[in-house]
Amino acid sequence: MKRTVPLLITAIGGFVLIVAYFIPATESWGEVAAIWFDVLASVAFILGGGNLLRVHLQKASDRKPGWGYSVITLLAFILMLFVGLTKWGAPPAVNQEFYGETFAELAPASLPDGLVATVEGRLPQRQDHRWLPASVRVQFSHDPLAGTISFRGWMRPNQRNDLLSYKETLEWRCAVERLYTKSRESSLGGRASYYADHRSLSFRGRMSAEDRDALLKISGDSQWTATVNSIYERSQRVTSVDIPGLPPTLRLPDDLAGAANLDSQRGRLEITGPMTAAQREALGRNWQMFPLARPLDSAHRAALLDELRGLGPITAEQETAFHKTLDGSWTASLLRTTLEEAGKGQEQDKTNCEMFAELQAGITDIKLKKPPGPDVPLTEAHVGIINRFTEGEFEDLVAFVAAMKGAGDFTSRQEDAFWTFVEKNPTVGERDREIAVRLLREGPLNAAQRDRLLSEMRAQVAWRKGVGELFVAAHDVKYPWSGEYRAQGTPFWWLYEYAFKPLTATMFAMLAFYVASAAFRAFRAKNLEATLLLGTAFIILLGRTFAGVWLTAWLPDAVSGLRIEKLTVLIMQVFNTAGSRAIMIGIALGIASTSLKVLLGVDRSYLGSAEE
Amino acid sequence: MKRKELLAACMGLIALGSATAALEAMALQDAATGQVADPPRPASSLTAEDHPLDGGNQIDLRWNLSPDDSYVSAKARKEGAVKAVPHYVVQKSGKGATGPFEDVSRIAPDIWDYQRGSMKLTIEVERGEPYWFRVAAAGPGTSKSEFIQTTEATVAQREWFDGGRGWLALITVVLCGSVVTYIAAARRGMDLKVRKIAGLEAVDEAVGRATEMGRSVLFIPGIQDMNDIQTVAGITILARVARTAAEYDAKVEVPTSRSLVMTTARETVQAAFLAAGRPDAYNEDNIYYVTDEQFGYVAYLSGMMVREKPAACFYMGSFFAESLILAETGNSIGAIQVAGTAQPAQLPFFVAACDYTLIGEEFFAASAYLSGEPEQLGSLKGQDVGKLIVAAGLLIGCCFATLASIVFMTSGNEANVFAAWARFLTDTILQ
Repeated sequence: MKRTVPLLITAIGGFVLIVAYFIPATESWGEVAAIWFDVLASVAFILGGGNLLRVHLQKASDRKPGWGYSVITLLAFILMLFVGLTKWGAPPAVNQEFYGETFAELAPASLPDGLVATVEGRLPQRQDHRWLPASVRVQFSHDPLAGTISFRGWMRPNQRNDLLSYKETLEWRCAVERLYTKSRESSLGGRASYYADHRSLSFRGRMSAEDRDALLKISGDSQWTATVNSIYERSQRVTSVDIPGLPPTLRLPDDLAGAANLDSQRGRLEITGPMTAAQREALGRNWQMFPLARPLDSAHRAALLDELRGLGPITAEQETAFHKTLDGSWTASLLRTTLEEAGKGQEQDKTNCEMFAELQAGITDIKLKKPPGPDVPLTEAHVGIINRFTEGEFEDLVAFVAAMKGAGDFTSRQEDAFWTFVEKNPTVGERDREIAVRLLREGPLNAAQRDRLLSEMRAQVAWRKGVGELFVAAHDVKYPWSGEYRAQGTPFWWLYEYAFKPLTATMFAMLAFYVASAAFRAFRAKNLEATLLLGTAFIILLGRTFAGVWLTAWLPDAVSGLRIEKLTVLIMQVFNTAGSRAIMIGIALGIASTSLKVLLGVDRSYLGSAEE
Repeated sequence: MKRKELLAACMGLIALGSATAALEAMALQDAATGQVADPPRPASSLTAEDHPLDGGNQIDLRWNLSPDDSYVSAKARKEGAVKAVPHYVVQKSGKGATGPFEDVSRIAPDIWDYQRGSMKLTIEVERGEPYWFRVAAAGPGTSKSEFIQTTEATVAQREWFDGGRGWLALITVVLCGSVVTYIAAARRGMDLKVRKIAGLEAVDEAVGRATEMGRSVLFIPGIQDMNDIQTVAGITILARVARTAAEYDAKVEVPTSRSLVMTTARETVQAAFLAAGRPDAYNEDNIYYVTDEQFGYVAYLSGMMVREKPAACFYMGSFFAESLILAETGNSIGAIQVAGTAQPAQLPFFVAACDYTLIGEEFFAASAYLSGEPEQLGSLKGQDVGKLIVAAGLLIGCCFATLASIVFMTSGNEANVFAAWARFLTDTILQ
């Protein structure tokens, strides 16, 4: 029995894997068998760890030769196990944390009926009987008799996409689109969400009293009320960070004043509630605090250069580098081209409902895209404003956009293109830093010159770092143990990077010396075969070095095949490949035969004995 | 006489190939001779069928090439000839016959497609869902012909057998069948002989030497887990080594790098000691787990070998970069070393540093060789049938490839009949 059971397991597992390979319907069986092996191997690892402890504890206890190594092994084992299992210092997993959102537990069944959106539609049947996507199973329902589909809660974009991919028919996709739109009507602009798999109600950013009241209006249920109030209270938490080195004159722009408060005298930035990713981006790179660098004309360049010369010497090479750096700046024509391109008519995707309407109208060739709209070219007035902007006017970029709109047609796409342009091009601090780097490549700069060129950038970096710290500090951690145990900066990572990896690399590096000693023995020319081996090895070694190419480069093209690098390729591709393939074929047949013997139980010696 | 006949046969085959090639070449037009209007005329006869014998996720499309599409040789392309139809645009819709359609492929015909005058393309789809397809011939620039479209929806169905693996199944059945047949024949008393394998003969010698010197025998079963067939083969040899050691009263030490290998090795060694009539001599502490980490394992083994100086070292299993470190360390302490692995890259290292090496199939034959049981020896004979089949395939493939090259050199047609057969061999049978 002790032998029969393992034999049976082996045989069944093996045949299942073979069958799963050839019969599509049983493909998943093979995957399940492989998972079972992984489970078994994981459990066996505990066995291995236990054995390791026992063997080395015994060795240390008995003071056997080499017991010191056992003590080191045990200490290292326990240390790594501790820092790895506890995930000491590991930040929570980004994809589990929902940064910028506040969670409060709420069972799916407790979602109020006021949050059930229903539209006309039928759940289509699939021939492969695939289940509904896991992300919507709890919240989605359908009534075949009434011909309606419903969703409880606010459908998220990923849930919509999962439902859309369930079936390709336009009727279904249109129904999903309508359900998505309807379900989000009360989501307060998408800020309120429900995560069924986390059994939690969520709110992005700070919940205002108006937001709370709007949510409380949905239902008077006590559990719902308690959950909404819980999120409201937690999202009123004020978090602050100190940002040293900020200019005292720095002010938050008006449109961000509601999101955060800045006390530039004390260098303190604070926020109420969690900070969303959009808020972090808006705060981190703000054109009002750190303005866009405009192209400098010759007068401005001369002024800046004189200012630098006033602080210390500038060589001729540095002056050339200074001008080259500024020559690489953006130009009015670049901005004009960007806005002209954005003004060209673009094809837009149709919605599924638009396509479904076309289908119902009997259109025979439905297109995925709408025909492009008309081009919106820039006018002379627009070009004039762009030129003024390039020369330094419009410190307020919003005023520039308003001027462009006032001068003629200026589409939202063009406006987006402008803001993208602003984001992609350097701020004054970034430009000055680039100048500093280029000048330092050509010669020295004194401390005053460096401070002049880098002070703006230092403030910018300190600000962004502070915003990042505030983003993390304001976050309400949901799953503190969800992080990666090997996350950078953790003790486990440190031990792995700076203790374990160098040690294993040392072991691996010893291979080079062992290759030399083995080659010395193997290539000793004691008979004809060994001499041939030595000659071949010599050609290969030479062919892989520069010397090999150099030694036979003189050979004429007619006999170029005798050049050592070509001989090397010939030996490796023909003789070596032929030999190794012969071995591979033998190995493949041996594996097939051995596997068959194991599966059929002909060979049981790996179980210790052929006898039962 | 025989040589002349063989020569004549070869020449005849080449002539056949050349004649076929000439006919094929007539069928192929060179686009360099005539430019066509823009856009090209459409393809024709588009059909869509469920891909036979698959998991139900593929549909085969076939269409006749555009009349404006013709073969342009590589030479002509170098001279500046331009294809009138650079590629075909294939679109799919899962929403209905009226679309909307989306691009799924842009594919250019190969020489075999030009020879047939038609193309085949296999598209990945979802099982059981209806799909409509359409194809247009692209012209130079952004122009393209009118689309031709399938009229009916095509649905991919799952079949009971994966036909793409049919040849593999056949080869497996033949190989396994021959192994099983010879095992059965051996059981009926068929006389079987196996050549001597020096590495396996040396097992007794190595264990005996360790006994004489009063030192231990070190057995290393590789660094892979029990799901690797090489580890299984290694454990098989461990059974024999342990039994011999039990008979000689020698100590066998088995440090493993996998927990499951440790438990299996313990079972094996315990059974071997029992079979040798020395259950009392079995000590499970001699078989222990070290670490899963490759170089941590090597570091332990190297240190242990230098400190304890085992008289015999066996390396049987799957090895990687550690092979030479272990074998050279064993060599430096003067141990008799026997290695066996099916890792071709590690074999030269073992050959250079060990006294005996089981190369590839010898390693897998060890179990049959050591047991001497007729049914196990029968499996070796079955392997020989496999070798014959492989040798025949090699010979035929080389002949086809050589003849295809000769025909190409003489007629300039690369799509000749021998190339087609060689292609069938490599792309269909051995895919």
